[in-house]
Amino acid sequence: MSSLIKIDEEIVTAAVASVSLLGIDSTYDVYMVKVNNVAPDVANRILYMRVTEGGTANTTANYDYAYKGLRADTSFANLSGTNSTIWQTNGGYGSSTGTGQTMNGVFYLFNFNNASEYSFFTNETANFTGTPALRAGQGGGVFTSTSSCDGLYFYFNVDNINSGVFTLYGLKK
Amino acid sequence: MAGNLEFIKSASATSVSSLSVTDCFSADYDVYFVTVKGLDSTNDGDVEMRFIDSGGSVITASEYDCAFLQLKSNTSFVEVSRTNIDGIENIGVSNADDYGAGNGTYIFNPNDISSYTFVTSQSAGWRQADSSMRGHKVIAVHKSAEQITGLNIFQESGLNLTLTISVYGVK
Repeated sequence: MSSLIKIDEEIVTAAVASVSLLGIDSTYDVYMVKVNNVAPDVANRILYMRVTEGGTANTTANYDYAYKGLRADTSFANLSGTNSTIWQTNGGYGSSTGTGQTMNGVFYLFNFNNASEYSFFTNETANFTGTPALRAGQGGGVFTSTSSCDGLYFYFNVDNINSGVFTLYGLKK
Repeated sequence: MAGNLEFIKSASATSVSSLSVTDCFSADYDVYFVTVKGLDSTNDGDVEMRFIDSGGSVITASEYDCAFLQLKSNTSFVEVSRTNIDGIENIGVSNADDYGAGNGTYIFNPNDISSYTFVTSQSAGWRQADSSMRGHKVIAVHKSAEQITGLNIFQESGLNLTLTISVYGVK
């Protein structure tokens, strides 16, 4: 019997402004999010992420993150931020609209539902930009608020999510 | 009861030039998790991965890009960028001490004929030459929108490997 339990899945086949994955509670301590073939409806857009509380994205300046940006076409880069209103994903690199120019990756989420600790994530992605080039991130972040979070909210920095599959799993205790 | 991380198949071999896992990708899953363990050889060396096409042939064309961070326990880290190469480099290292190694790899969209196939990979291994740990964090893409049905792992210098590959579907 598997110990990876699917909780929520959103399949995008037409342009939407955002995607929310909900259902994080005290059932599990660690959650996993899988994203694949995520693309915007306008070229070169960057996927952002926020926690949700009561199903609504939290927009306060409590997001810190740090990434190592891996690039096949040139030197690697670092990306970091503190007291931001969003989490960067994917090392801050954009996805686009051409063939194969999508974002794919996995997030692990820690302490999201625990109201006495901060919420953390780790992230590894593989992504083909509009350049075109293989550029992606390995990193993570923290939501610096001891609140109880119940999900994640994804959206592009501008314009829409045109395609992709977003799936939330719990890791059985 | 089937769950959301489902074992598909595995392959093991002793002292082989390469090992393939065939017909492990299908329309049943869009994302796969692969583990590789062992990687014992007659000498230290980098281990690579290639994909297998719908005709059962290992894809050796220069249509892979990859980037990896090499983490060395005894010296500075190394950042490597590659484009238009004939395989995904450094998914692990082989060693002659028979101490083994471990790798966990996600593969995205291999069965989708309209998208590229993407890889993220993490590994930890051992080098006999300097008695040190060698880790890799790898991203890669196979830049051809075609159906991928399996994978092949080999040592870049052509040395024989002893290894086990296991493939799981993430439902």
